[in-house]
This record gives sequence, structure tokens and C-alpha cells, in this order.
Amino acid sequence: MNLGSFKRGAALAVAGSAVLGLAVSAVAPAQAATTTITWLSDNGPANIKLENAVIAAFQKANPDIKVVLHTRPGGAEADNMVKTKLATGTMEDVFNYNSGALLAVLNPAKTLVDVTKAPFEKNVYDSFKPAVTVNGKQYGSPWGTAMGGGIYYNIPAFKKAGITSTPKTWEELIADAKKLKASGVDAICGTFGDSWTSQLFLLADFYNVHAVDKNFANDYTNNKAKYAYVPAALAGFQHLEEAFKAGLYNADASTAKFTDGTERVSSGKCAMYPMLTFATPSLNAANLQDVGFMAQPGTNAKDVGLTTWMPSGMYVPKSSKKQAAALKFQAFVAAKGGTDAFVKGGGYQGPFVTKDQTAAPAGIPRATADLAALIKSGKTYPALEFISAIKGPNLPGICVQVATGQVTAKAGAALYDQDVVAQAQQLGLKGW
Amino acid sequence: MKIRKSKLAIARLKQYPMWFTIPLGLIFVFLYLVPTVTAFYYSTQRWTLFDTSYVGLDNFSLFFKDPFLLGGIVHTFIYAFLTSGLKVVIGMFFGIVLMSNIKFRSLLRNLVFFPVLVSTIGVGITFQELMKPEVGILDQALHVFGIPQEGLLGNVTTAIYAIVAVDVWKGVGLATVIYIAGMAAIPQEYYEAAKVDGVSTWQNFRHIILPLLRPATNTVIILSLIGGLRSFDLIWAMTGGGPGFASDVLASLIYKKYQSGFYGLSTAGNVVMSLLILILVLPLSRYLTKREVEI
Repeated sequence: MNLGSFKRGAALAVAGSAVLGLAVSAVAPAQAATTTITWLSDNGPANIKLENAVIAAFQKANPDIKVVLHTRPGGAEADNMVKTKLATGTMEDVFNYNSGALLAVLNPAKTLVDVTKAPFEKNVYDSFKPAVTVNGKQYGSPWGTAMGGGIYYNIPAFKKAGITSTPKTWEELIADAKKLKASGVDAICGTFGDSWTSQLFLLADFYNVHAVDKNFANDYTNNKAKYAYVPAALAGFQHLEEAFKAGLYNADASTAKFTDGTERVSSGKCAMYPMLTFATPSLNAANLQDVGFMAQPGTNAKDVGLTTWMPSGMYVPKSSKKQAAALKFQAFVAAKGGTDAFVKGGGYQGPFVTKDQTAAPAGIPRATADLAALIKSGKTYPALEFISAIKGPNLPGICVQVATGQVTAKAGAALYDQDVVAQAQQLGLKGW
Repeated sequence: MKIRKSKLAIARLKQYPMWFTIPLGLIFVFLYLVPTVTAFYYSTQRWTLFDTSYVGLDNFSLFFKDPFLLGGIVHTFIYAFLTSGLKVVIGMFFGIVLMSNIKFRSLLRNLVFFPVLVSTIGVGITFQELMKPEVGILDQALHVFGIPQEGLLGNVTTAIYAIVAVDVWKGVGLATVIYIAGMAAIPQEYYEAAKVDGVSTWQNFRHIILPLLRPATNTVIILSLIGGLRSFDLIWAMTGGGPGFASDVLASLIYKKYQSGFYGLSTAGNVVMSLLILILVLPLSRYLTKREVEI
């Protein structure tokens, strides 16, 4: 049998089963046949608890649909897995994945169901939509809460060093860090053993970049602005360098890991930890009220604002054979029922990006309350990766180089400018 | 009579008909030849897994422009030559010692070989913990010798050498086994004859063991050099190429490109790497075999 006839055979079989399916539902309309859909999501223990809570709520609201959870690792491994599954048409019926720059790489026009006109979009804040939009079409519903990039700080350590308020400019931050160091703690926690953690001083500085240079994101995407010579953008690299030169990092910064960072800022061994707020559940449960969260200050004490990270998106692949049920699930997580279940599962880490959102539960960690207050203040701007499709893959390594004194801030910025070329070309952007 | 003999010879030649080679041939074609040819094809494409577009040699020029490539190549060479050299020296030493009449010989042989059996990633993570600053046992022991505070793996200059040491620890067992086999192949008569001539232990080693172990040495050199040149798993488990790019080798640089979704670019990198290994190892292998002596 040649390939052509094999395909025909398969098509016939599929058609046959579709007819059969129709027949079954026609014969027994009263007893709704259950559709089983699969969902690919994160495998962290806290995530699984949350995912099961959402599944339970969804199944209660839709008794005719059963959701089976499939899990995957996070990070770069997730990128590979999601891309491979989509490319080979073996993706689960619904999956959650990053929004922003990483979404564009999935080639959504070919692989994902367009939900621009879906009713659930009415409930979603406009600020989220660009993060799941590629070439004018929307592909995802929000999964999770908004996050902020900034600095966790240990309140008792600050008090002990005689610091009464959080720094309003970068200069103040460095001055405070020196006081903290003098008081006998590690001023800034570097956890470059997990190299992605090194990027925060740079990425969380974007509110400040945007405050000075409104066109940076646009110019940058169009190959007209570079980190190496736009002073506001270069500042992020300089922060990494300055903290190193002043000896403000812990001695084992180059091998310490993310879990060391959350541990130490909880216990007060480290006073500050630049991080995304998704780390809040990883803080020590006993110290949750000792750890505050602040936005990364810039040059203007009157304009301290937060760089925000959008929630992930929930997407339905075109390859799914049960799209109707999968789309119901996608819409569910963006509605009150979904966010309620999300909070019930212990997932509240900040405000949702939906209009009828679930309120914060009682007794939330101090850092989460700080984040909510920062977002409420309205002084926020999304991180560059939600506005521009370009993010160079070697940024973590380059940030580590700068933060460990291997290269200067200026050289690091130039290396990064060179690094993004491959990404821009891969995406086929014009002008690169 | 003569004719008969040649017929027999032909018959013997035909003992294994051609179709016997088909299964292996198919495996070779589909698992080796086809992927190799496709790799060359994809190295000229910009490939997103979803679609491809022809870009000529752009991938190669982009790969060679990588600012971290030079460092990666230097680290690859340091890593390959150092692990290979150390495995020869230490493996030969162990091989000779473990062939001599010592107590607990088979136990010691097993102990030396044991690390070969352990998963590389497991070894990497274990040593990462052992070398962890302040809490790792190995790090505490090394503090006596004034090892810097950030630990062996956190220091830009020592990171690669720390991984080399672990690689040798893990791989020397295989070299030892090859040397033991090589030692066993040396006929006893040589030693006896030398004994009659009254040679010293050193002369025994220098003029009998060393030259007659050359086939074993060559095998160890070639195997560990190729292994070292394309080494990846241990480095990835221990430092991920860091701090920064201080322990990045060719393979890890290429893997990062693959991870970032630059499938065409990383394939081009793989083509470059395999050509590089070929250029290095082929002449070396030819040179080494030429110097072997018949036992």
C-alpha cells in the first residue's frame, strides 16, 4: 500500500468514526455522552494542586466533559516539548504556555485556534490582549494572575540596618545595600547557578526605560535602537555591574540557585532578591509576613513604577479533534468560575486580568499584598518581552558575565545586541 | 584438483550471501545515512519546525559570528585533550597495578569500573552538591588549599577543570579495562626473557609494556578524544556552561541554539562540529595506527 492510499484509508476510518459518533448522540440524546479532553500543564506540586482544583470546578459546571491532566516540565524543556507537539500535531486538546514573545515562535496562525471573537474576550482586560495577539489575531485566554518583576526584601533585615522606607531611586538602593552589607547580611542575593535569575535587574528595569524613552520598544524591534547606546536601556546592565563592583552580592552568587534565593531572602541571610513575583509560593511559609516586594527604582524618585509580567495563555491547538469542548475549557479559566477555583487551589499571587475577578483571599503573603498595591497604583508597564517579539536566548549567560565581572556592562550590552540578531532573523522580522 | 580448490574458495566466499547484509544495511541507511544527509539539508534552511526557508550559508556565517564560539572551541580543546591525556596516564597506571598480584584485586577492579556504570547526569548533580560552596564536602576539603569562596564551579577559571576532573573520575574505569585487556595480551615470554637478561622494573615498563600497550593506548586516546570533543551531558548537568559562558563547549553552545528554537542554525553548528571532529580524529587515528607494533 502506498502512502496515498494509506492516507485515504485513515481518512475513511476517521470519517467512519465521526458518523458513528453522530449516530450515538442521535440515539441517546438524554444521556449526554462524555467528551474527554486532555490538558497539558506544569508539573510543579503546587501547580498540580491548582490544576486539579480548576478541573474539578470545570467538570462540575460541564458534567458532559471530562478533563485529563497531562504534565510537563518547565523552562526551556517546555519550549521544546510544546513546539515539537505542535509541529507534529500531537498536542493535547488544550494547553497553557507563555504569552508574549515566546508565543510568536509557536507560529500560531498555523497551529492555534483563533479566538479573537470568542465571547470570553469581553471579560479580559485590554492590557492583556497584546500578549496573546500575533499579527492582529488573539489566541489565548489568561491563565493565572498578573506578576511583577522587582525586588523581594527582608523587612527585619532592613529594620536592623536602620532603613525605614524602600529606596525610591537606584542610587538610594545602592546606598541602602551598602548599609545592609555593613549590618552583616548579604545585601543582594545572586543565584546565577540558575542563570535565568540573573536577568531581573535588566528586565524589571523596563518601566524605567519606558519612562525615559517611549519609543524604545518599537525602535528596538525595528533594529533602530540598541542596548549598548541607549543610556536608559544600558542602565539595566550597569546595575548588574555596579552591584558586583561594590561587592553587594553573596560570595557564592555564581553557583547559588533559585531555591537558595527564596530561602535566604525569607530567613534574612540575604536582604534583597531581584525576582519575579511568581516566586512568592516558594518563600518560607513561616516568614511570609517578613518578606516585602518593591518595584525596581530608576532615576526619578517621583516616578517609581512596576514592570509587569502578563499571565500565561490558555490555548487550543488546531490539531485538536475536540475543539468545542477544549474551547469551553479555555473560556472557563477566564471567567469567574475559573478564577474562583484558581484561588481555591491556592494560586492567588496577585490580581487577575479579568473584569469580574475573584477578590484576594484573606491572609495573603505580604509580598502578594505589596504587588496588588503596586498594580492598583496604575504605575505599571509591561516587560519588553510582551511588547517586542525579540528576546535573545543568551541573555541569562550575558547577565551572569556582567554580574560576575567577566565583561563590562557596555560590552555585555553589545554582546546582547549581537545575540538578538539570530532571533529576529528566525522570526523573519523586517529590517534585520 | 586446482579447479576444485578455487571452486571451494568461491563457495566459502559465498557462505554469507549478499542479502544477509540487508538488515544491517537498512539500519545503517535509515538511522545513519538519511539523518546525516537531512542534517546537511537543514543546515541550509531557516527552520522553525513548522516551516523552512532556504537561506544558503547564512546559518554557517551566523554560527561563526557567535561571540561565544571562540571560547567554546578553546574549552572544547582543553576539555578533550586534558581528559584524554589524563585517562591515558591514570588508566595505564590502574591497568598495570590491577594486573599485578595485589590483595583485593577483583574488588579494586570493580571499584575502578563502577563510576562508568552510573548515569552521567546523576554524577554531575552529585558532584555539583559535593562542590557546593561552604556546604559541600569536597569544597570544605579544598578550602584547606585556599580554593576561592565561590567554589570550584562558580569560579570562571576553575569551572572547566573541575568538570574535567569529574569526567576523568567517571571515565577512567573504561580506560583501565582496555589497559587490563592490553596487558593480558602481552605474552608472558617477554617478561621471562627480560628477567633472564636482568632488566630493571623501569626498563621492563619502558621497553616491553609501553610499546606493546600501544594498541590499547591508541584505543583509549581515540575513544576519549572523540568523547571529549563532543562532550555535553556532564557539563550541562554541572554548570550549564556557566558561570556566564566560562565552561561552554561546542556541544553546549549548539544545544542552547536548539533550545532557543534556532533549529537550522543549530543543525549548521552540528555539521561544523562533526566536520571538525573528523578533521582532527581521522589523521590522528591513521598516525597512531601506523606506530603500532606487532606482538
